[in-house]
Amino acid sequence: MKPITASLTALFAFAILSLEGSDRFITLSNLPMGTKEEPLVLRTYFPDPGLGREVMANHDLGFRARKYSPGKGDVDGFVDPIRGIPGAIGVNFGSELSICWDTTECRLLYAWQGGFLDMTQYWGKPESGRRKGFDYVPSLVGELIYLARGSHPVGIFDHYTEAPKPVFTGYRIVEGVPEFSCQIGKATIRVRIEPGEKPLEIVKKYTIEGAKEFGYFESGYKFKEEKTGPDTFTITLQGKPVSSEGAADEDPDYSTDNPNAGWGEALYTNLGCFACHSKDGTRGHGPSFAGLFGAERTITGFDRPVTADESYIEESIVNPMAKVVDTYPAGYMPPYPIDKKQIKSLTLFIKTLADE
Amino acid sequence: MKFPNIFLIVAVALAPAIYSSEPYTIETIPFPEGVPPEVGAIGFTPSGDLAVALRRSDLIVATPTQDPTKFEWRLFASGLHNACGMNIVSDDEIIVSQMAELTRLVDTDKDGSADLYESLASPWGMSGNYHETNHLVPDGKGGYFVAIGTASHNGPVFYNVKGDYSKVGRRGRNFAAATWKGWVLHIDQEGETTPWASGFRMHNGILLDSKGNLWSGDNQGDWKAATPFYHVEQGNFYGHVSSLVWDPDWDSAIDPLDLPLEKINAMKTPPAIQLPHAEMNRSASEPVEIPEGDVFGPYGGQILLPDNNGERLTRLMLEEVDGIYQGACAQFWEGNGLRLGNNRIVFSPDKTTLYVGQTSRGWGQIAEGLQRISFSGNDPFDVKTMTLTKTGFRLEFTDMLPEDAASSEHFKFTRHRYEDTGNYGGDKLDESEIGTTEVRLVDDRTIEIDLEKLEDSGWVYEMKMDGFSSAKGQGLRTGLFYYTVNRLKP
Ligand code: HEC
Repeated sequence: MKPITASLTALFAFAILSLEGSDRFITLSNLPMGTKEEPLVLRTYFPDPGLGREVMANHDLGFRARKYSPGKGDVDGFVDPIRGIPGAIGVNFGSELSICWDTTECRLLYAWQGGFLDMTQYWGKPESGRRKGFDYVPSLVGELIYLARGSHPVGIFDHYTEAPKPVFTGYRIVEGVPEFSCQIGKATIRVRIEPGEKPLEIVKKYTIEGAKEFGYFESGYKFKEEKTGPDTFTITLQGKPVSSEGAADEDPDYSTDNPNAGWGEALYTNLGCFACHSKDGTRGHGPSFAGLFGAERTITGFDRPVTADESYIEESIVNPMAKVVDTYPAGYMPPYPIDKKQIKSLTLFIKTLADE
Repeated sequence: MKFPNIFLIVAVALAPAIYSSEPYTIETIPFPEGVPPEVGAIGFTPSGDLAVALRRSDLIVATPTQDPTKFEWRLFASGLHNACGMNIVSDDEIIVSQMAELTRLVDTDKDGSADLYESLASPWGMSGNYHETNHLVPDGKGGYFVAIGTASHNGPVFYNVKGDYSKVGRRGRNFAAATWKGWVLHIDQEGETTPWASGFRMHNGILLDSKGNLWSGDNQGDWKAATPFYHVEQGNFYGHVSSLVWDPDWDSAIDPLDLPLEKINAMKTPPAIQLPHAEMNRSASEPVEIPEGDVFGPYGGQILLPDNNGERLTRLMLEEVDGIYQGACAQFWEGNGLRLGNNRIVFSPDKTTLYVGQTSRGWGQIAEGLQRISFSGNDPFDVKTMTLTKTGFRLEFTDMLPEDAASSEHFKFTRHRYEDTGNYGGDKLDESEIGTTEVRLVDDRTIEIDLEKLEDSGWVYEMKMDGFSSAKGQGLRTGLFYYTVNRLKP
């Protein structure tokens, strides 16, 4: 998972580029953006900011694989999957709203404000034009205001057994905005998603045909439902900063067999560590993980600082009361009775955030 | 962002020319300022506009002009993820194969840009690996053949996979971790998918020729010792083993990478032509048939195969021998101002000009953009066809030969073979010189050469030819040929 960077320099660079023209073509700028009047639609790989398995129910799971050498066959070491969404469509309405709508789940996965995508990882630097890193998923620019949870918000109740998988059938540009369309059994669901009038509002205009009975439910977000016709209704969703609230509500069970930092990063999101520990140095309910590993910690009641090494971090996760960091309340962090591999993975992840 | 200056280069004959006829010219066509010229697909609309799908997002269109710098580009569609295959149905309707699906783009309100992006089919998966691009060709009956490329070990997979994930398919250098990677699929008019053929690594380009044969190149690498060119037939397996995990009849207890080599060799269909990697083509991309007649020179009906990693376009001379296709390859174009990264080619509606789209982002050295090669009307002096005889080869030339052309001094033969393994690429094996026993003039344009040794089962015969000009004194355009002998003449 890539951090959500509200990079001011990045936004500034975009402003300069857009003045130069080439307004409608995708250019060498790695910060493509649309406007409210002319939204930008872009299909690419998308970052996964911590979506639960319940949301990604129609995706299969990638596994870690043994490293492979064509000469020797399997060799020591592993290659882990990375977090990303393969088949989604992004729409940007300027700094007010960006959405990521997925063609496999046929639903809005998340929404954010501030910017759109930083494509550098995927498109490469304009001068070199090459794919940049091993993890080439573009990163979000801005702040998440909505992250899908639970099963599909539209329930089609015509099926006595489990509802069939949704099938994406395309989109139509209506007044500049894509109207996504999918089929669930005999029912057709079409939806247009746009920024609302009030801050953080997301408006979803639905048309549902061919369903006898349907309903809408969104877990974790306030929304207003307004019937606009026999087959149409509008949902006004109240977004909110996601980081204060918790991302995925379940462990995605990545079933990797050996501890690794990528797994740790996923756990950081899925176990809710991020709610108290930032990755960028800002103080939250708990100390930031940035620069933590290897640092000297001042501990309440200890007369000498303690080095935050592997055993210190592991102890802090399993038994937070053992050493309470100075200026932070004791007993605020819950103990995490998680297995050894998970603890090790979290520690490896925290290690990646160490100061050089 | 500056574009390189437009240049116009006059092609010179590859062998020293006594008489230069300048058969072809090459020009560079710029894209709009700041637009990354990464060409995923190109084609012509019925009204003669050139459409170019760019790999980052946009599908742009322009009316070709005499002056290559005067193209006025406009946006037909945008938001596409790495569209590498395109079929233009009408001025208002274009089908593309992008990473996730086959998409129909329609300009329903006729304002010049598509407003309907219909998903036609999406039977293949996506592991999240950057390498999994697709190419398509219409089947002539309203459906499509789609080539589904594999993933590269230079990139990872995602936790969230579209389609199904196979742990076994994930092993290997280039791998098939997601549904139908390494296959050619047939998707009919109704959107029904039939798995057509397997065993491909990166078949970045397929062709249905005017006789109804399906062809594809593939990329040298694991299970591909050289650059193969395949006659693709339903049910066949072409050697890259990872794709086998998606065969519905495959025994899931068997990891194809663990199969003994003899077993794999027995299962696979060999290429119709093996293109030596260094000498001919490093990275086969979109094959296209050269128009019949003399509109683009004397090579009508043959196939051009661009090199995505070389400044060259290779010419393929195929023939049917003992019920299967095989044949020769030679360079149609090398250097002379052509860029690397030749990915897609298409002939102009009047067939006199070949447009070449280039890209290499993530695949090799930077080389991108659009060029065109035009035929002047002056035929080169060249070998038109190289075909097999019972005792050697027959060369038919484009013009009259001098009496003394038929001398063994002018023709040097060697032969070698390849062995496909799980290792990247393969050397020329058992390379040896092959003597000629007779060289004779059959008529004023045809030479036959008998060889000391002629054997089948995949021997690749190299012919180097020089030391003579046409009867009129025009220098030979091409001097290096490779013929793959899968079968002997019965
Ligand atoms: C409800 C808030 C909260 C949550 C959730 C939480 N922590 Fe903490 N954590 C704290 C506080 C407060 C401290 C500092 C006081 C202490 O040491 O107990 C702390 C301290 C730590 C320390 C020592 C940090 C230092 O600066 O020395 C580590 C390591 C740590 N937490 C890891 C985790 C991990 C891993 C998770 C998720 C599995 C997690 N925490 C979840 C509040 C939280």
